[in-house]
Amino acid sequence: MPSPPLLEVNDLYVRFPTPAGPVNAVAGVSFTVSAGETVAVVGESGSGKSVSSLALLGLLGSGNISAGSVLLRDEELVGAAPERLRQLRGSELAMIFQNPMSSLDPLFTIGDQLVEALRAHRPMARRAARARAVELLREVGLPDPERRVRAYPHELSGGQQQRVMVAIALTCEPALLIADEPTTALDVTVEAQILELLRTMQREHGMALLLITHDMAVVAEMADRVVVMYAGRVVEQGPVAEVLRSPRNPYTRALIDSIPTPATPRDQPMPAIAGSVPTPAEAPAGCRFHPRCPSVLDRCSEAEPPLYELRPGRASRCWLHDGALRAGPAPAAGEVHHVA
Amino acid sequence: MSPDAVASMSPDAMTSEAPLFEARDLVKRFRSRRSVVQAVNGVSLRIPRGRTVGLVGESGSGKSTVARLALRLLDPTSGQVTFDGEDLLRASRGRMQALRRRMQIVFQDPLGSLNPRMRVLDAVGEPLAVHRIAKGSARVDRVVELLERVGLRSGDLYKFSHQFSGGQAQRIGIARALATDPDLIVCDEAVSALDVSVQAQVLNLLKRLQSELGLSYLFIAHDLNVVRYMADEVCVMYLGEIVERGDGDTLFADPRHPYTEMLVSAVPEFAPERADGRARRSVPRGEPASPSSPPPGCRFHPRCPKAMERCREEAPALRGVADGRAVACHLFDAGREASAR
Repeated sequence: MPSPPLLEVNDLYVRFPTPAGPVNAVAGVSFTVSAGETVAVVGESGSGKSVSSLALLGLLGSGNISAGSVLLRDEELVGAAPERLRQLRGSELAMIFQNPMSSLDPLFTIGDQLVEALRAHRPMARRAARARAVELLREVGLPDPERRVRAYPHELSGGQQQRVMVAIALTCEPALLIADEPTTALDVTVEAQILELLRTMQREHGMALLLITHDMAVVAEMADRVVVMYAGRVVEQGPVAEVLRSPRNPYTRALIDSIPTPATPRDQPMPAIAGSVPTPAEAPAGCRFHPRCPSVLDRCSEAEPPLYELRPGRASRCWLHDGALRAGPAPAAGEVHHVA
Repeated sequence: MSPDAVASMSPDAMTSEAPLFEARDLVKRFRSRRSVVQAVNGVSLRIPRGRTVGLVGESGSGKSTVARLALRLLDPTSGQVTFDGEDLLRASRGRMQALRRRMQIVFQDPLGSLNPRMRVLDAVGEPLAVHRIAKGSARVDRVVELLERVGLRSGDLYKFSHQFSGGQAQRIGIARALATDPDLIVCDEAVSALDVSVQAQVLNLLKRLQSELGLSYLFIAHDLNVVRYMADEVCVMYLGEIVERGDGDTLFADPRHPYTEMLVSAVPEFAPERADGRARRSVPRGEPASPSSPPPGCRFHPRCPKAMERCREEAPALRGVADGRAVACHLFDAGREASAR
């Protein structure tokens, strides 16, 4: 019997007002993260992957979540009081973002920022917090922590800044760390170091990790399960090895094929997906991928396929699976965007 | 020369024929109040006609500075740059402007490099006006032809760049670069900001244009897989120097320089058909030093797992170790090759 999930996102809709009327950036997204597990949400620009993570942290303002539920250990976060959300973000949930420089305050030393974070979570003498800050910096592999604790953010490299962000996230011993493109701005040799650090921290602290990324290679390296998003929709999910080796959704397959690898033949064109990624406002009717899909059927432009459960834990949104069990509510229900 | 003839050219032919572009011993230092940044330190390159030379490296490696030096958008502190046999550094203003028609650049951020208040017609047609190549209806015709060449439509003529997706905007950037009918295009991280599904389209477009128009590319990117796919010869840069160069496939399969080895093994392995176990890359140690205070001797020695006493004092020169392969590392100095391998 699997343990109940730590985080359960159910049929989440996030809507933004635009001059042309409200647009669903995220439409009917559901997934779970269990304790200690790594789940990757992967997608290209406009897929809604980052919006989903901000929404479940309560960072978008409640007005934008138009439907759905986010349960953290059975506690409903959608509609929760801002004070409660802030409390959870300092205890159960922590996050790191793509650009550490914009998350750190340039006017304070990293020691000050760690001490502030430590003392915000629990009462602690300044001196003890200072000692703990040095310890945390050592734990995240910052060289020469006794000296660096007095450094300002700009005196550190991008990789070192991201290490500091991980240290700040660890101050509250979170059950779930949300990492939104944590290595996208970093060089590849530094990326490898930060991912290794995240794995170590996860193992030693028993955290669950929700990794938001555009990079399939990072998914392959880090995640237990993957949720593939396209234009605000979950199009496929399942165990990473299975989804990468035998993707069932035409979008996932095409996306994987278009990644250059050392084995890509140089004398042939790359397999590419025609057209471009639609913005949420211009998402087409029917299946949102159908104008670019190599396996498109007549019905794909008429109605959006449901998410089919191919077997427990493995789902794909495509009419090719018609006849399989549906994994969730038909997308027409609550689908404001296309009805309007 | 026909594209086929170019494609069948052997690596030897690449080095014997007079190259379209050649840089020798380029050095560029930037002075600030307190320090001198050695952005580029003795880089030499040859780009044969119709071929692609790739530059790969991490931030601070100096690859974008090389791009700017190549087009003489920056003047080098020392060194030589020749384009089609002409010394660029001695070219007069007027001569330089004439040569610039034949050398163009495509940048990383297509929307950032296009004027948001210009319509496509003017963005793509501007170089035609600057170089007095075409005006009026001839200019419109030429822009339509360029748009169609890069996969856009004549209906896009009067749109603004913000009305396009990133991939389409990069096509506009490429059309603009093609406007003056150049021989050399420098692609500086030209696909790095694009979504994966769109990146492949733009790579295909660049390759198709190369075979149709006989273009030469200096292709700069931080993504080793992308550079390998595009380039006939790959140069690996570290802290302002080329540490290794060779054919992309052999460079990948058999990296010689310890930095290339680190870089190659740090690239996440993405081989879905083999994704039954967890893909794991080795974790490199350390971070590059700052170009304003590079270490003495070999610039890589503080991070090098194979560093020797000598590496701390003496900078290794780039020397040929095999067919089309050169490495700057003391491990490969004469007589040492056997013990290093």
